[in-house]
Amino acid sequence: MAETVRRILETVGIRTERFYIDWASAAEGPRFVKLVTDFTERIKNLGPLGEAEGTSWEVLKFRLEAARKLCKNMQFRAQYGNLAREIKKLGDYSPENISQLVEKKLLPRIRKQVLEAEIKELLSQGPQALEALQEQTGATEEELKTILETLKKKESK
Amino acid sequence: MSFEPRILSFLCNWCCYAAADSAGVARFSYPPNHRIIRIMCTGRMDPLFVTEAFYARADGVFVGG
Repeated sequence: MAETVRRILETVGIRTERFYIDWASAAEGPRFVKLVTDFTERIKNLGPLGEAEGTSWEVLKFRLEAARKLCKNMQFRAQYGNLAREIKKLGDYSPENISQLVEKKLLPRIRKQVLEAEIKELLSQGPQALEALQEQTGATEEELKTILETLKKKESK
Repeated sequence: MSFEPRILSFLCNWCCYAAADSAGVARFSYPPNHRIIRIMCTGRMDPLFVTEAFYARADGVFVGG
């Protein structure tokens, strides 16, 4: 879960430090206070959403909307569930292993969805050069190609 | 005026939520920036919750298990 969220945030362009997961048992009041205080301090240093990222809220909102749709998408959720099952079967819960598997199985899908939404929006504002699209979205050439192809297919339908 | 972040916390009913409670009983003070949502288990967390939180303009998301 945590790794998937981090990948989504990375793709959207939000600092992963803004998401934090940790453990404190019911008896560990002081530890909880410390965790919460430290986290609040870190967020204070980062500033409001979008400031440390150097991205305007409009852009972030747009990408988050795409990420939201992705998280609700049944296909993605099935992939996510299958991955969890696979990790359980392997019995290897090390962060490296999970990170690797998430990168391999879920990241392409996350990137595709978010980039596709953004490119669609940019193109609706008028024609764009390939290089400009690449620079704005941070997509690789290959990703751009497949996304443009799917958009074309959707349009002709 | 200094920046006061809005942080959304998801706390597990059995662990962190109880810890927050005991911290309150013991009169420890902690920052008031957290809006707490109690979930019955950290296993209930879903990537959707986090994206939804950021979409609602939270500055940070904390998950306590």
